[in-house]
Amino acid sequence: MAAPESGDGNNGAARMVTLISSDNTRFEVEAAAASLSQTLQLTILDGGGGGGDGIPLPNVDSATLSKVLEYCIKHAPAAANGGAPNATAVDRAELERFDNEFVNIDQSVLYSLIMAAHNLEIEGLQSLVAKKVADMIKGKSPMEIRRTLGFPDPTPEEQAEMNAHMLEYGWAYE
Amino acid sequence: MAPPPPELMDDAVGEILLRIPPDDPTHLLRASLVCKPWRRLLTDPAFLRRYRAFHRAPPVLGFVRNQNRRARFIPTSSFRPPDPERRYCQVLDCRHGHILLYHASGNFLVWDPITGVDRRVPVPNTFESFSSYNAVVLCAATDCDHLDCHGGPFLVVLVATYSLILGGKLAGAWVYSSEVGKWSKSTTVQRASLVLIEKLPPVLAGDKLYSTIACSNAILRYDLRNERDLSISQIQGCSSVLYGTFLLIPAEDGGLRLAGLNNKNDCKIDLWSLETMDPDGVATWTQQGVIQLDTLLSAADSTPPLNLIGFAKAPDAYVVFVSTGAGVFMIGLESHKVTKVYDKDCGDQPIFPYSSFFTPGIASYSHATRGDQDDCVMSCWGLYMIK
Repeated sequence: MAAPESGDGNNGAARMVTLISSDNTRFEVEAAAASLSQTLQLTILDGGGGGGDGIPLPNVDSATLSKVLEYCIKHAPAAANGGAPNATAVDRAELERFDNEFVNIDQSVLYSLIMAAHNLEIEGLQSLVAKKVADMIKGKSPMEIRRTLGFPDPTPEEQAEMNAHMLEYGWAYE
Repeated sequence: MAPPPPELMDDAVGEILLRIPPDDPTHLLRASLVCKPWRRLLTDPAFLRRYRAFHRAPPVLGFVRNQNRRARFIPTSSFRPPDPERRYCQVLDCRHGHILLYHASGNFLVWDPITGVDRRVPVPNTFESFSSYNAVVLCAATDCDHLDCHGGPFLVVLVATYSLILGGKLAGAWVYSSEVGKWSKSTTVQRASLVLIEKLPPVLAGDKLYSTIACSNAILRYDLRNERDLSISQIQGCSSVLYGTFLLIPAEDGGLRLAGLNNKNDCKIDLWSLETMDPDGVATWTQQGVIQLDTLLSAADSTPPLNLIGFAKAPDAYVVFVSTGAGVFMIGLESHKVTKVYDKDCGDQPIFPYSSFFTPGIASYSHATRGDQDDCVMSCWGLYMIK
């Protein structure tokens, strides 16, 4: 069992860290919430991010970071309980409701979130956004998937490969 | 909308494709055509291993039933096999991506409906003297997770009773290995009375094979790890075997369960769990639960007669198949979720659900092997000869 991280000489009050987005906005957040990010966890364990320093995140803009932190703050208490084995059904249902609403967002925000979740290595968020995109593309034809995800139109070579495959597994494209 | 940055594809596409559900095989097939990087990933063995581990149990793609002297594959998903039936064949078992058939020419066939390949297994020399038998097919690859076995080595395990020599009082077990190409020597057990093995879906629970004995409410057990361990036990303390139909079902922990359907009085499935099993003694049971069918099925759907005709392992728990006048229904033993999978009444004829992942990797695999393996060519040739 990993001991919960607590600030030295700061018993009782939650330790805070500062994160700085690519457009230089500062976010002050509980260390426990920021530690959902595997990338940030190491820095925070080393004592970074406190005081006036702040941890710069050059790959995440302020709009995305604010959304990411909304997720982290909501999920931090459950994560602190080691995946919340003692969580009540009500708590779990509440988190599920939150998650469902959380990914009910514009596609461009969703992509920024996917990138941020990967950069910051936030496992739960990675899984949540990946599931959302999987739900968006399942049941769609290859062309529809390409359009949904904003791919350019296929080259003639790619189109020929698609057609050959569709001919072979006709049942998959009925 | 601007196209997503390329980093998204590199880092996250695997996480996305991993979460495409396997129950409809068209989803992954279609995704594999989106672009080359996606196709590369979806045919990468390491990714597919991860995909199978993530989804844990393969989905039920369909079931095989005996109909008009042929074994027919009835799809319950979007999957369609290249050729959905085998003539003059009787289905015996579906397991590890294979379907075991007995062909009227006197051979077993191991049919992979996904690759379309049949492999022929000759019957053992003593086959002519059997009065009854049942058999299972299983993957023999040692490092296999048994979630996606196609084209690899397999075993056929056969349990049978003799007719001529000892009036059906002798039961035996044989094992065929595709790698050796031979049947093992038989293990036999003497019985005081006539024994007839029923051709109900056999059960493999842990390392033990179970099959029911007709008319006498008994179970034959064969231990695959200990080839001398063949025994018959009488079912005791389980009222389900006294009326209606019953099936043996594996338990999640490797033990054995029994499901009985009583449609005489109150339309329910009783579930029993095996307590003790004395070799050549009695098998005792405790009741585990009841599934009230009249509350799960509408009046129209529960048109009699109701029969319990098959089982399968679903990702979360086992499911059973109930045939009614309105068709065949798949019912979750834990979830009690009901799905209609077939619109015809199968009566009391057992069905053999077929579960497998169908990933783009399997699809390309089927083309690589179709003409390459000598035994496949031989068996296809043999099949055409007897058709």
